[in-house]
Amino acid sequence: MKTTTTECDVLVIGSGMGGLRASIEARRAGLKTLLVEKSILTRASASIYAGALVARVPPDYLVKMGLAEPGMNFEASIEDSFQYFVREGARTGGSNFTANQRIAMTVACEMQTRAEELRDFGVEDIYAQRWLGPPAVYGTHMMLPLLAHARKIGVKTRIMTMITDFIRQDGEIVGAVGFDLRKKQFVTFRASSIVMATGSCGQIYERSYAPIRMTGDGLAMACRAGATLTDMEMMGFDNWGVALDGVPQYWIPGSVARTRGVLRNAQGEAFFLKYAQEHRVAGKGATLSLDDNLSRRYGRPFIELVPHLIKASMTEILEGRGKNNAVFLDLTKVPKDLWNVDSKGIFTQNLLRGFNLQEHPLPVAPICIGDFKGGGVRIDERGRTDVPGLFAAGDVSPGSSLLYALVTGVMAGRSATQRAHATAVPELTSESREWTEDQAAALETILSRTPSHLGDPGSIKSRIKGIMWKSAGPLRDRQGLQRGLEGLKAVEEEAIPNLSASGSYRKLREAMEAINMVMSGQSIVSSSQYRTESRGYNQRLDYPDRDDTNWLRNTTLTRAGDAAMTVASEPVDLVFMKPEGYEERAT
Amino acid sequence: MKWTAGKITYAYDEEQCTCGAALCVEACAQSVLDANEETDKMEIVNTVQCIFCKLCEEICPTKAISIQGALTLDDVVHERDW
Repeated sequence: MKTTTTECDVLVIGSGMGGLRASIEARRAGLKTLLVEKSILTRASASIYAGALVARVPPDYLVKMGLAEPGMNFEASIEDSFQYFVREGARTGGSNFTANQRIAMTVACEMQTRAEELRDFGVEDIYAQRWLGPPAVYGTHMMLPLLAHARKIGVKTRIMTMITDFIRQDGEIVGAVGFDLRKKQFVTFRASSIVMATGSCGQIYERSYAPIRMTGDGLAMACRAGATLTDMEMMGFDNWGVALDGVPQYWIPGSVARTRGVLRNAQGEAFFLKYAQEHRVAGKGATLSLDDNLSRRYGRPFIELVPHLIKASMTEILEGRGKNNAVFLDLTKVPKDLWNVDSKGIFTQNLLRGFNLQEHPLPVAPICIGDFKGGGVRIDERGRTDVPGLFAAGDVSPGSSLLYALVTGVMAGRSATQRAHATAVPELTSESREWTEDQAAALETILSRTPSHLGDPGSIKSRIKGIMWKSAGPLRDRQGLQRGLEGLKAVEEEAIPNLSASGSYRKLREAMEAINMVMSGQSIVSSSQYRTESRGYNQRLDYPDRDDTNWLRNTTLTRAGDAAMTVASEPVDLVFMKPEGYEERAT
Repeated sequence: MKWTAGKITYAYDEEQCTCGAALCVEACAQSVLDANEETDKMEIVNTVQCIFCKLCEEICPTKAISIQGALTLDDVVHERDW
């Protein structure tokens, strides 16, 4: 087998916003920087799906639809932004007060400077709102200039190269191993610092809107290397995924459709109206009139309704009042002109391939959207993980938004630079060299194993997605989660040992993704099992209430050596802000 | 090979697919395309998931695939008044 070794000061994995920004930071400090990507540059990332950092001011149509979020624009004050991040959570990690407040504060303070700085890298309109057309090109106005700048200043790039594991020596990360899909060879990297910007694991669910390469590779690798994962149960869902045979699982973005339509079950009942009354969701001044938009109808900002909408829809589906695992979004009464007012409506109509919204209600169901989640590899406000030498930026760490990826990209890149200046590129000990050879041998085994139905990477991935959606989807309970753990264990014990790439390096990438998905899945299920309350995206049927007395805590996952993962929790450091009415628990 | 979905028309000329690098497969965020390991040519495996982003068309160095037609703003919007 052929293995090549490459040496650099800072190794950056992943070419989304976090990775690109970190590599620019390291390179402009004069370091030898290598950016490695398992697909082609920027294309496997969620950043390319992101149309804007945040708005300069909330756009008019969002305000009118009740979708504008206070604190989430560049005109907002630091304290408004910070409070928004902590309350809402998912953008900078955690959910409803479980965010790391130091990171939230860093993002709030830095966001404007770091966004303005993008102009130096050739991004022309940093406040552009690009929400037209297909999501896969939303982010190009930002990502392509950044990539061009990184190249210009001398960041070296290596595409179609998948990193499979980090090399750990004396408790520190000193390099990484992987394989090159094009040159068909195994590779070893040695570096003083490694920044992982590998994205989240949105593809772990059957119903998912995340880009296909979002398989949680970084989460699994970091966990195997001894880093701590935190709040993994906070995987984000939204209520508005199209669930129609023959069209993509498309997430309807913030168009009029979401706010003016009426959710109905198979019997035609407007079930959310009933749910809102039963669960006292409706706020002051709710009109409860189906002619109004959602915010006016229920007297609350749209963003606060989302978890309830998901819960209500899932309940209808689970209790058999849906059809083909979906409920219906009735747009027949919404004027066509209004439906298309923000142009996303047109794009969705194109995707519906002739389905007539004016005549039939559209089948929709909750869907996992990669862009909202609150968990990941634990980092501090400087982008450092628990393991020396390993830094993380963007969606792989808790939090997800282009803005978060930008700021953590700078932080992780700067910390990695600091370390690389102080530490020479480490030599591998004979023990480490042996370990890397073992890793290459393991890859070789998967590559050359006789193909079997059980070991086909594609079918294993679908199996994991099915298990995860059923057990740790938008609504969870004790039995379901237990079945999920058992299902994943069965995959790990029966299918993974038979994994076969049939000699193809592309399939080897699928195979490694499947292994990483099992691990990310286990971390989500066991953290969710551990958090015995409902908060943010962890909605437990058996513990339906938010419990600030016992659960203002972050769940943590660690794994020592080859042992199983251990789940624990620690109190959130409420360093800047406490929830209203919060009293410290006597310890 | 030519086919339509709604208002969109696809055309794929397998003989022109010669780059051997399957760039289109990597560009596709929706798993619509796959690479045939033996012939090194692109295969369309899952048209259902296509979101008409046209990245495959854009990235293809030999112009083997083209995607045309979609509803536009003018097709559907007469007024933009709230």
